[in-house]
Amino acid sequence: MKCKNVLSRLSTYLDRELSPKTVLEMEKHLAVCRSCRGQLERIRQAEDSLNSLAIPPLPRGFAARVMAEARSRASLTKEKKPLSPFAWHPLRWFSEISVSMRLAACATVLLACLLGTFMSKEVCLSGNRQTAPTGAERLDGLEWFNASPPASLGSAYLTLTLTAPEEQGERR
Amino acid sequence: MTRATDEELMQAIAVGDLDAFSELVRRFQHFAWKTAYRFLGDSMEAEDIAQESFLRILEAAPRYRPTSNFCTYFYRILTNLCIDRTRKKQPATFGEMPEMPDPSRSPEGSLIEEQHEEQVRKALDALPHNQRAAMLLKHFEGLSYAEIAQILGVTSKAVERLISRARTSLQARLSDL
Repeated sequence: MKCKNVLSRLSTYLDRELSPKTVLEMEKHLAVCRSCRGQLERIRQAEDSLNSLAIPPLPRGFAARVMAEARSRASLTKEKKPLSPFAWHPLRWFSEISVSMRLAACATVLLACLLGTFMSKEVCLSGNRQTAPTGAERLDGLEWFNASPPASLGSAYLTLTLTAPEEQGERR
Repeated sequence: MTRATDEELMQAIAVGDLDAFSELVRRFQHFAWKTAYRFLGDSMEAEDIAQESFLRILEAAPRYRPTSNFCTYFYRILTNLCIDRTRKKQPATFGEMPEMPDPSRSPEGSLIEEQHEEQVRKALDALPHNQRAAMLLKHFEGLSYAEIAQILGVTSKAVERLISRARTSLQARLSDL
């Protein structure tokens, strides 16, 4: 094994993450190469200096503070839950989402209303154009029979209704 | 009476057992504190993060599945919180309050040790978040590359590179110690 290969594997060697075969080759090289051995030692020393980091003792009452916070969060969660099936709030989701999401929801509903109004107006106008009653057809609800086939019951009813007053007048 | 495993405690916490949670806090409080302090180097922040990690555990308990070791699971939460905190950390605009001197150290020894520790702290803080996390998990916890990879959500090969770079960087900064 050459110095270049050994140097690139020193870190993994220190962590004992190399295969036994590679470890053997590394150790053979390190036994004879002063330069690589020196580098290994320098890496070890630098890493060992991490041990000088002092850690202060755990702050007093840490566990108690964690438990107090946990209890407060647990009680908040309980308060949020409905007490009975009758305490059903279909719009609760609205109070639980962010302001931007609320605005988006409002905008969607408004848009849907406007679109609905516009479309229903269109339908009415186009419907009026198609079924606008003329002359004798201006009878409440009878314009629906206009589209009836000539020999149908609807057509017969319309003929009878429209002609009946005139005939009645002639008879008189 | 047999001692409940960490996984069993998590199952009890999932159904709202706060006594089980208290036991889990008791077991892992020192571990959480040390890990957070080593990463952040600040008592207040370390306490805040250690506390938050337990509260995250409490929240996540109903979704917890014991597919991996609980310790690895806890490491992942704690390490991610530490990395997030470091990312969000604003540079201080004015000098931080000095730590209280340790009365067990002599004044001269204390000064040298403090300087040495400060240099190590600076060298560690200068490492990118992932390198720092990988290095600390390897050096202090003795975890394998595979375990660190699971915690950091990267491959074992990536962990190998992170640790190797961290060592090179530490060596460059601490060579005169």
